[in-house]
Amino acid sequence: MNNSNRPVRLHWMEDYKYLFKVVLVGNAGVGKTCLVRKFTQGIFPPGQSATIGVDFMIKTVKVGNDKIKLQIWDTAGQERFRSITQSYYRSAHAIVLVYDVSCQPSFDCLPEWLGEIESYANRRVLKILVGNKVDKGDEREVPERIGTDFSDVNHFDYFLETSALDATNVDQLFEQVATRLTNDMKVTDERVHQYRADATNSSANSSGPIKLIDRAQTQLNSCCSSRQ
Amino acid sequence: MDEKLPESVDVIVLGTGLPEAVLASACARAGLSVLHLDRNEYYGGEWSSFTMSMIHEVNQKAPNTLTPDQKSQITELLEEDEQLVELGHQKVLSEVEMKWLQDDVKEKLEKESQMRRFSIDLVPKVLLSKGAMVQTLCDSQVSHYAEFKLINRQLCPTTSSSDGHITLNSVPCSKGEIFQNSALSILEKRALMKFITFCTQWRGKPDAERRELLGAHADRPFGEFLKEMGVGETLQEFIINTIGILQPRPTAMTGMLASCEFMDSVGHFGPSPFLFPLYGCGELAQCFCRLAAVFGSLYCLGRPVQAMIKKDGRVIAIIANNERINCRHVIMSARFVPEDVPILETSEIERIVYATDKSIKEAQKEQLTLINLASLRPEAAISRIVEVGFEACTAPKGHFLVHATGTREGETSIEKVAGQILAINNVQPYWKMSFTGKTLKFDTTAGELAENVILAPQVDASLHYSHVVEECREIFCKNWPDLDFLPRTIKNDEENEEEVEKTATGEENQVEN
Repeated sequence: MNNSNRPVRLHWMEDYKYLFKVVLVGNAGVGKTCLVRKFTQGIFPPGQSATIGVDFMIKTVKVGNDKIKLQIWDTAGQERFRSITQSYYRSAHAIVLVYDVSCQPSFDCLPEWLGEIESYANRRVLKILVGNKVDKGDEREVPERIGTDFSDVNHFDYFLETSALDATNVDQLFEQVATRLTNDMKVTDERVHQYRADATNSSANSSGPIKLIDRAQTQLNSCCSSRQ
Repeated sequence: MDEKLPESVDVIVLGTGLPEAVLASACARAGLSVLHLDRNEYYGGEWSSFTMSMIHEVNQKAPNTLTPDQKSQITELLEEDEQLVELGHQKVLSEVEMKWLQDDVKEKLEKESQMRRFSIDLVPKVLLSKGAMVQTLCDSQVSHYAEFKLINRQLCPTTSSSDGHITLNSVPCSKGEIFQNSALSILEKRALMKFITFCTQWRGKPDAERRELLGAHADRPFGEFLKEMGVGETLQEFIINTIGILQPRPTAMTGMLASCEFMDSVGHFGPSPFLFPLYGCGELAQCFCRLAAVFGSLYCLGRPVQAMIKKDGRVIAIIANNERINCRHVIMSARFVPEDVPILETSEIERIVYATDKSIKEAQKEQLTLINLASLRPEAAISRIVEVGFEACTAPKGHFLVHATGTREGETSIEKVAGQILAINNVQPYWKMSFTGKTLKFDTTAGELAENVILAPQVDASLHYSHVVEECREIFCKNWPDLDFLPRTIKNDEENEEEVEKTATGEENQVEN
């Protein structure tokens, strides 16, 4: 069948209300990957082996009655030598900056990370500060109070202490991200609708950015449908 | 404070320009261990994009050749029969000049902290919607990391024969646009549609037959062939200008091929065949680096890459920051080629960038614009302008970057022609940068470079990325014939996904307490 030129994106949008890009940053070894894996797969990956070939994880959560997809991105090890690409920060809806409460140097690096976020991320990005590894009890080097203060002074939207090992606050962290982004988005949606109603002659020119995935998806769909 | 680099890897890649990034990602994807190094603190080398506050970094640092002290220190890392070869600091950008023309605008931009909103491309190119780059991005899923906008306006400059006044007319790409176009007469529209139909039929024929169909005209100028087809002079110019952006000085054969290439890409993502990366072209190199990292490549910027160690005609290690890293292959950008390798030929590309607060041709909605200036500079093979602004995330709202690119032939400079284009709408740039990009052709026959050193492709004058990507593919397949070049990832996004649903409460106080 010769399908019309309908944008495929709309087709796969049906299945959820919003898709948000969440990126994690912070020093090597603070447990970013573990947080993501714990949340998306419920496992705590043993050892320090890098996860080859895994780009981002997707998890669907429910906010109220809405299905929200979180696309959670990890640094792919580029933080080891402070060589994270600027493009990593682009189009992120939320940035989760992680430090290790049992490792003072990972906390001391936060201002540097903030600098990168300010330089490359969207100005209105949701900023979350996370102190991970609270399970380490006695080995704690950064008191919770210090984390809270840093979060307040630097205008983070949210601060939380977590443990990817015993799952403390892991779900809460990402649920908060989803909830806050959804609420923000609903406000924007209303504004956009208002704007669209005002602009009567919105031509094809007023297109949003193009994701090349649409095309790959088209091919995928068309070859699937021809097989059936 | 720096972590140590690994002792040994399969491939060391020097330089993070687009071709090096593509090759690094192909190697990592194929399962080779990769260490990717750059002397610069930023990604992209001569393929990079800069914010207005960082653009000064474009000036290559003065080469710090090894001091005798360093050399003796490094020599200690060598074993018997090993030879030290100092890596070069080849200059691939020259005559870099930048200047503010209106200081009040500078102050205003600084005050509003807008300087970081610019993304100034050193190599502004576009992607052909059905070209090799888009295909590679999709296959490798690097497309996940980038977003694009259509180049939604291609303008054709027409010089009035009476007063020499230049006007810019939109080039219609799709049938709908041709139909709506006001610059073309009904007869011309008919002739154009006839030409398009001919192209479509021609494209479907086997190669041998294609040439036959063009007859004696095949290697004659495209214009003659169009005339033969009954295309009037104005329309001829129009078609040649449009197609010429892909194929300078087309013959009937190359012109037809370019026309098909153009038409093939039309309607794929929109009426125009061209795409531009959001945040500028420098993003592409970074996106490929991300893929390489996802497949285990190690990244380290700002490292002094000093020398290579040769043994029996092969490179066996690289020295960076006085550390020795053993390797099987080295891929390097032209910048790193040792100074004693003879240069056969240097080709130069002239570049001018203007920052403006007014478009070349104002429209109701901001456009991404492409202009072929060949008719104004007929002696030169390449003369073109790309104008991108806020829509492409390369400038603050209301601001534009006008990129002029040209080869050097002829008397008229690209700067002069770009000035003429700006003058049409009385655009007064407030910032200007100019430089010359150099492509160096090295003589590798003498064996100064070892056999397992791979030179990455360099910046070319072409409008799009197809050649660069194809060249990378060839290089990869030649060196690793058993491995696939960025093979299509069959895995769907959804595979990473756990379909277990979670219910977020949406009540802050519950968690915060």
